[in-house]
Order: sequence, then structure tokens, then C-alpha cells
Amino acid sequence: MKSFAFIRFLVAACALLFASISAEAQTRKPPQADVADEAVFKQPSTGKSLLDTLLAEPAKALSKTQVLQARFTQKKYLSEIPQPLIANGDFVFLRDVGVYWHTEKPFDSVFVLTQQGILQRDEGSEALRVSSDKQPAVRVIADIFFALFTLNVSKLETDFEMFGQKQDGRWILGLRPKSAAVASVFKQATVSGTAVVEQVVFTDKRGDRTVIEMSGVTQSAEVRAGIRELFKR
Amino acid sequence: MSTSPSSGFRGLGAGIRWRFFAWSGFVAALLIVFLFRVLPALKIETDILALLPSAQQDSAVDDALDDFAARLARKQLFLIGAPTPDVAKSAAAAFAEKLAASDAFSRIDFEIDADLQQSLAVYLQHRGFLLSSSDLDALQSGRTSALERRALRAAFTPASFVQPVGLADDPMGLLNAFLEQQKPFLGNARLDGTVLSITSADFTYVMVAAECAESPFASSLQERAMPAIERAKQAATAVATDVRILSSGALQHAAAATERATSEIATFGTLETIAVILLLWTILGALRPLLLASITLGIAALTALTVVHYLFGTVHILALVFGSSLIGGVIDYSIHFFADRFRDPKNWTPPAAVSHVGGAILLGLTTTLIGYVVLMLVPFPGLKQIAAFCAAGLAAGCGCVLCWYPVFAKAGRRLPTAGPRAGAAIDRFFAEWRWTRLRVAIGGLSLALALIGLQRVIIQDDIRALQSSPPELVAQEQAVRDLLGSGVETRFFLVTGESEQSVMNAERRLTRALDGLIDRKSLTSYQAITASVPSIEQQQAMHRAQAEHVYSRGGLLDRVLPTLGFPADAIERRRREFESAGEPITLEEWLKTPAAEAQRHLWLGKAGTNYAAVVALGGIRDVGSLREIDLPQVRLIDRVTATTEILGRYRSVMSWLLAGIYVVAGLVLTVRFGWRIAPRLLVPSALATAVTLGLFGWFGVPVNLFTLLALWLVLGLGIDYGIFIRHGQASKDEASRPTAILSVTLSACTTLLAFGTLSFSATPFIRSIGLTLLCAIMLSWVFVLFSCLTNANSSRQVESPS
Repeated sequence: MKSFAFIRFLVAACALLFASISAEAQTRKPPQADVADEAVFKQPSTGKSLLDTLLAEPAKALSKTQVLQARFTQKKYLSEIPQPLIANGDFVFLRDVGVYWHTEKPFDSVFVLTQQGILQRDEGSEALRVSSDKQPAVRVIADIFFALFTLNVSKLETDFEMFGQKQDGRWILGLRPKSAAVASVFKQATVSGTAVVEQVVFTDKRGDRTVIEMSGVTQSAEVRAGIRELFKR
Repeated sequence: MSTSPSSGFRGLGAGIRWRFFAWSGFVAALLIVFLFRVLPALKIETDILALLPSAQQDSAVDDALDDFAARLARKQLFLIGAPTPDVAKSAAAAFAEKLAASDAFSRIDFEIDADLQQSLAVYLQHRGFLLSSSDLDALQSGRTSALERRALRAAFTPASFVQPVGLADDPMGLLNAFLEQQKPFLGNARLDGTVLSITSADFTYVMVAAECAESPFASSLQERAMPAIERAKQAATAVATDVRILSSGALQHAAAATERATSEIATFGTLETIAVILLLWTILGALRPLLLASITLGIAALTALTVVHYLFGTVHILALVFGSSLIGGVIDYSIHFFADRFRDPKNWTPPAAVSHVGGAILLGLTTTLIGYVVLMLVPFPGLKQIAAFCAAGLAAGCGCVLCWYPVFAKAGRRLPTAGPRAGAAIDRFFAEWRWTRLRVAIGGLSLALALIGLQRVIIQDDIRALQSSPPELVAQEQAVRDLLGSGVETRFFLVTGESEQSVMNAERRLTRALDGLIDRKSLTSYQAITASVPSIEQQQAMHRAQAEHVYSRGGLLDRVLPTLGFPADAIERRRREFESAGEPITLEEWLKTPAAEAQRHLWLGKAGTNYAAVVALGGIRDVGSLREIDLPQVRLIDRVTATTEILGRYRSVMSWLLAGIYVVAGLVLTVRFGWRIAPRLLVPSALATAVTLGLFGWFGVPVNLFTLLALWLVLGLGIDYGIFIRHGQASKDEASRPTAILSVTLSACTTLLAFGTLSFSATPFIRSIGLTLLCAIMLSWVFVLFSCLTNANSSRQVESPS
């Protein structure tokens, strides 16, 4: 058992992994979310109190959900580009399995994230395949992703400092990474919604953002035929 | 020692007096040196690998490799598990805090607080010179459409999730692809908040990594580290009762081996001492010989330790094992001396004993020393150390007997008769022995049967079978491996060259070959510094490829960025940045940055006239395919296999040497005793050796290098027995023969006690030595008695009628 130098690799790689989220965070501030965003971080909270109050209803509703489907719009705001980079499509979240993210515009691309890894198909042909054995980062991303969608607050709490606020009938959850490694690339995120998660905003150190908005959310406690096939590798 | 020499001291010969004072002076000097210089600096080495010669030729590179292996060996990994992540984390925090409080560890990795931007800075600065190998190929061959596609994917889909550098800094994804290829294989570990954790079915384990301040095989470190780990475990279990702690690393195995060896040495040493004392007291019936023999033993041990300390710097545990058995060899000389009294109980004086048995003792010492001197010439550090230890100890023991005993020994009043009666009984038995036809047949048949076993001898050179760890530790090690989901590989590639750049270019050729193995699933991953810092030549090629295909007018930049909506000035700014990009990144510069942290140990630097680097491997599925890689400047280092090969090679070399020593000893004995007598002295040892091996064959006891080492001892002791009996026979004094028989029997008994106990050792290689000696010494003794004492004429009488 000699190669324990690899703990250093672990450190470096995990740092790299969290940097990945920065790609989502290189955006310009969307004006409408501005005020709420800053305000929520003045309301520190804990997972338990959030679950007791703010998130009691949505978390309860989500706890039975097996399948969650919605349309999404992703806007990346980059300081050099006057217009945001906009993509849209639909996604399917299947509990304990993963996320099927289908970008329709500007081009057709399917991104499947499961505990086993990432699979990407552009216009039907496989473009990228990352196994989570080779890329443990994928599993961490999958964990955070799932925790976000299902409002698994106790899981989120291990990685983030939590903030919570209610505003105009919407709840807003603020997340700040606990470790410096993560914070150096990903300053904060907000998750907001009513019954379900409707918007996620990542903000990086420079104040740039990625906004993901969800609409037409449907949730069901049953898995329809054909849903599982989407996740077959 | 306070006993003043008897009043007859002046009456002793001048030679004896001179020898006495000279030897006393030597012992006094030895004691002073040992107490004040050796003892404070004494280091016990427990690594069996330290005994073995290294397999390579270039000693400077060997040293660098040893450093590399030593650094890896210092790592120790702990997994602190609990049913919930929070409990696991606080238990791990308590654990890490206690470890950090100890000076046995130079580094504790628990919470991660690395600033990523710091490690990325150096790559961002030099990105104009860096490309992944597949991007370089794609650009050089003009296949850029896939790269365009990738850039769009990063901008609009979640593909960018796994990318460390943001879109604004790397719109083309070239730097991300470069960083991607240096990611290590991590198994199941993941970052959980600020700690690394692994989740199993119902437990969460948090990782704590420690680095020992010095070699885990040094007893001085183990003495500090193990209590610290124990305190840390207590602190962790104090957090919650259901905390589970797993650990992995060389330290625990080394500490277990040391503990076992020292407790065995203590137990066996005590048992032997008690048994030897009882035996000698029964035979000699006085305390003085016992006291003298013990002092002699002590001085022999101190001399041996001091000599080994000064010759080798550290004392290996194996030398100590032999040391505990030195009792057998050294005590022999005392026995020969005191048993001489039985020759003539009434008129015996110590000086007379020296003149009577001194010559035989010296001759015995000489043949034994010849064996050890040859052993010292073998380029095998462990053997050299054992040989030096035994030779020094035996010589000092012999010195004590010859120089001190004439003065200190005294003829006691009472002399028990058990000894002489036993000697006489054995003598009578052999005197009356007749080689009847039946006896010859039975003897010959048994011998033949035993020797047939030689064909069945199993040879086992595998180092792993020779050094075993407690099953509990092995299970823990396996548990850690299962949890991490990746095995830790001990094989790696060594790349050498006359310059840094030559090493890096050679490494590049190797990694190309390894990429092929990864595609064929023979290998999962590798780590090479050139993945992070390519050679200057390579970087210039990467720079050219970017200049021609990315930043040129109408290149990739001009095709992709407008599509994403970047305005013209943003594109021009990137082009200007690239054109003004200064120099390729140098190894020296990179090594100083935080980015090198994870891989710095792979660069061995300048070793002698050469430079060297290591390419570490992960998830080896097909070792054969690694061996097939045949590239200049590249060598596969496989320490386990190499060690096994070395053990095998030295086993066969030692076999030939042993045969050679028998020939030399035969010549010496022939010169001294004539060609008729010499075989009688030599054949018993040789036959005992062959029969022992034959029995091992029948009983499935594997033979290895350490068996050979033991047989080396058998040669010396067996010949000693022959010489003594021969000496007793040749004397005109009729009482000499039973006395010699007695003293040989006594010395065989003490050796059996000393080495026989080793057969019960839990360490396989020590057990090998013990079993071999147990069997071979007993046989030697029997064979010597038959060969020297039974009447050759009677056998001729039996043979002639047939």
C-alpha cells in the first residue's frame, strides 16, 4: 500500500471538480433577481428550520415525487457578450436514477447524468461519455443536482451554508459553499420556487451568473412507461 | 566480574596474563563505545526489503527510486466511519487533531482548503503553449469541426459541468481539455463539504491522510506513532460509540512486525536462556561457569551490535533474530571449555583446558568464519549484515573463552556425574554398535527414501509469502481498498535521460503507449508530469498548432466566437493575448507552483549524471502488456516481482556457494586431518543438509533463501562437532572421547534450544530458519556420532561377504 500520494490527487481533482460549476456561473446579473438574491443572504438558517418553515410544503410534496418533468430555459451572462447565451428544452428527473436534460435550441443535444456517469448525444450520435468510475466528480455533481431538485436540505447542508427567505409567496434558498476550494470559483447560488424549484442562479466570484428557469413543471409519484428507457446507456 | 583473580594469578604464564589484560582492555573500550556512542544512536530496521540488494545497475537512480518508494511508504490512510456523515466528520476531526499533536507525523491531510485559482493560474498564464494530445492531433490534422461542436456544447448544454475553467476564459475548451487529461483516477472518494468521504451501504467514511516524519520501518518512529494513533482512535470513538476506524499503510504492518519480532525475541530468548542455564547447571553443577558463559554471551552480543552499527548504520531485526541464536554458537565455546574438566576432574586447571581445547575451538571458529566471510562477499546487504553480526559475535565469544576463562574459571569442589555418565553412555553405545546387514539395509533405505524427497522440494521465493501480516490488518487493508474502489499499484515506470527535456520526451513516448493500453482496457489510468507540463519541444508544437489553426485569421477562433455572440474587439483581444504569450512553461517554474502539488513527487530530479521521473499506474489489469512496452530510457519497476526474482537468484547463488564452501572446507580438513579422516567430518553435515531438504520435500515445507542461510549455519556447526570428536579421539587420554561427546551433545542441545524455538515464529521466514536448523542440527549430530565413532572395520566385515 504505497501509493497514498494520491490523497493529493484527490484534493486537486476535487478542487477541479468544483471549479466546473464556475462554467455555470460566468454570467451577468439578471436584473429581476438582483434584490431578492442579496437579501436572502442576510437570513442565515439551518436545514432543520428551513424544513420546518419555508420548505415544509414543497419538501413534503417532493418527498413522494418519483418523476419530475419540466421545460427549461438556461441563460448564461458573460461580461463580454451583450446578449445572454440562451438555450432551452426539457428535462426529466427520475428519483434514484438521474437527470435527462434535452437541449432543443440552439441545437439538439441530450445530456444524461446518472450515478454511473455522463452520456451526451448530439443529434442522435454519441458525443461524450464520462463514466463516474473514471470521473468521481460526476457523482458529486449528480448528488448536488439531485439534492437541489428534491430539496434534500440535509444533504445540501453538508456542502453549503444555508440561507432562507420568503418573498411574494415564493421561497428563496441561498447556498454558500463551505470550503475555500469551492468558494474560489463559485461564490453563491440561489434556488427559488413555489411548490417546486423554479429557478436556480449560480453566481461566481466576479458576479457573473447562469440562470436556469423552469416552467410547466409536472410531478408524479408513478413512473410512466418509457421514462426509464431514457436513462439506458 | 568483581571476583579478583585467584592468588595463583602470578603463577599463570606470561602469555595468559598478557592475553587477559589485552582482552580486558578491549572489553572495557567496547563497553564505553557501546554505552556512549552506539546505544543512543541504535536504529532497528524492520523492512525485509532493506535486506535485499536492489535490482538496478545505476546506483544514483537507485537511490532516487529508493527515496520515491520511501516517501510512498511514509503515507498512512485512515477512514473514520459512522452511520451519519456529521458524526463521521466530527469523529474524523477529533482523530486528525490528536494525530497532528504528535511529532511522529509531518503532515496530516483532513480538511481541504486549497484555492483552486492558485493552481490554475500557471496554466492560464501559459495556455498558449498547452493542448491535450487529442486536441493537438485534431488541430495538426485539420479536423476542427469536432472542436467547434465542443465549444457550442459547452456554451449551451450542461456539458460544461465537468470543466474547471469557465467559458469566458476558455471559450474553445482547449485548456479544459488539457486539464481534463491530467485528472487522476480517484475511485469512490469524493469531496463532501471540506473533507473527502466515501459512502458505503450504511456508513459514511471520512478520509484522514497522514505522512510519517521518518521511515515507518524505524522502531523509533513506531514507538511515537502507534501510541499517537491509539490516542486518536480513542478520541474518535469518544465522539460516538458506533465509530469504525479503518487504516491502511506500511506503518501498521511494520509496527505489527516489530512488535511480533521483539516479543518473539524476548520470549524465545528467555526460554532459551532458562533452558540453557538448567542444562548447564545440571551438567556442570556450579554457578561460576554459568555466570562466565552469560557474560561471554553479553559481550558477544554487544560486539556484534557495535560492529553492525558501524558497518551498516542500522541493525536489521533479522540480525537480531540470529543474535538471539548466537547463544547457540557462543555458548558452544564455553561448553567445550568447561566440559573439558570431565576429562580429569581432580587435576584439571583452567589454563590446561585452554591448551587442550583451545586449538579445536580456534579451528572450529576458523571454518565458521570462512563461511561468514564468503557470505560477506555476496552483494546482498541482509546477508552481509547477518554474516558480520555472527562473525563478530563468535570471534568476541571465542576471545572471552580463550583470554578470560583461564583466569576467571575455577575448579569447583563438586562436579555432578550426570554429564560424564551421559557422555560415557553415548560412547559405549557407539563402541558396541555393529553394522549388521539389517541395520545397513534399514539405514540405507531410510536415507534413500528421505533423499527421494529432494525431487519433491517446493521452492518458494515469493516475498509476500515470506512476510505475513496479522489477518486483521490484511482484512482492514482490503476493506479500505474495497471502499476506495481502486487498488493501489506498486508497479510504475521509471524514465531516465541525460537532460530534463530528454526525460520528458521519453516520457511522452511512454504515455502514448500507455494511452493505447488504456484503450485496450489493460490499464485504467496513469499519472505523468508531462500531462501537466509537456516538454519544451512538445509545447512549441502545441503553440504552432494553435497559431496555425486557432488564432490565425479565419481559424477556429474566428469561426466559433462570433457564433456565440462575442463582439469583434473581444476576439481581437484574445488574439493579441495569444500573440504576446511569452514563453513555454518550464519544469522548474511549474514545480514551484501549487499546481504541481499532486505530482511533484513523480519528478525524481537529477540523480547522479542522469535525470529521472516516475510514471505512476492505476488499475493494472494486464501486467504482461506493461512488460511488453519496450522503449529506450523507459523501465518498468515492479518491486514485488523484482524482489521475488532476487530472492530466487540469490537462493540459487547461495546453493552453489554452499557447495563451494563444502569443497573449500573439505580441502582445509584434508590438509589438517588427511584424506581418510576429512570425509568423516564433512559428510555428516552434507548428508544432514540433503536429508533435511528431502524431508522438507516429503512434508511440503517450502525452501527459500532463508533455508539456505540456515544450512550455512549447519555447515559450520556440523564440522565443529566432527572436529571436536576427532580431537577427543586423537587424544592419548582415554577420558577425552566421552568428554568430547558430552560437549558436542551439549552444544547440539543448546543450538536446538536456540533455533528450535524459531520454528514457532509467526513470521514465515524466521520459521523457515528455525525448522531447517531444528531438523539439520539433530541429523548432523546423529550422523557425526555414527561417522566418527562407529567402527569402520565392522562395516567392512558386513560388506565383504555380500
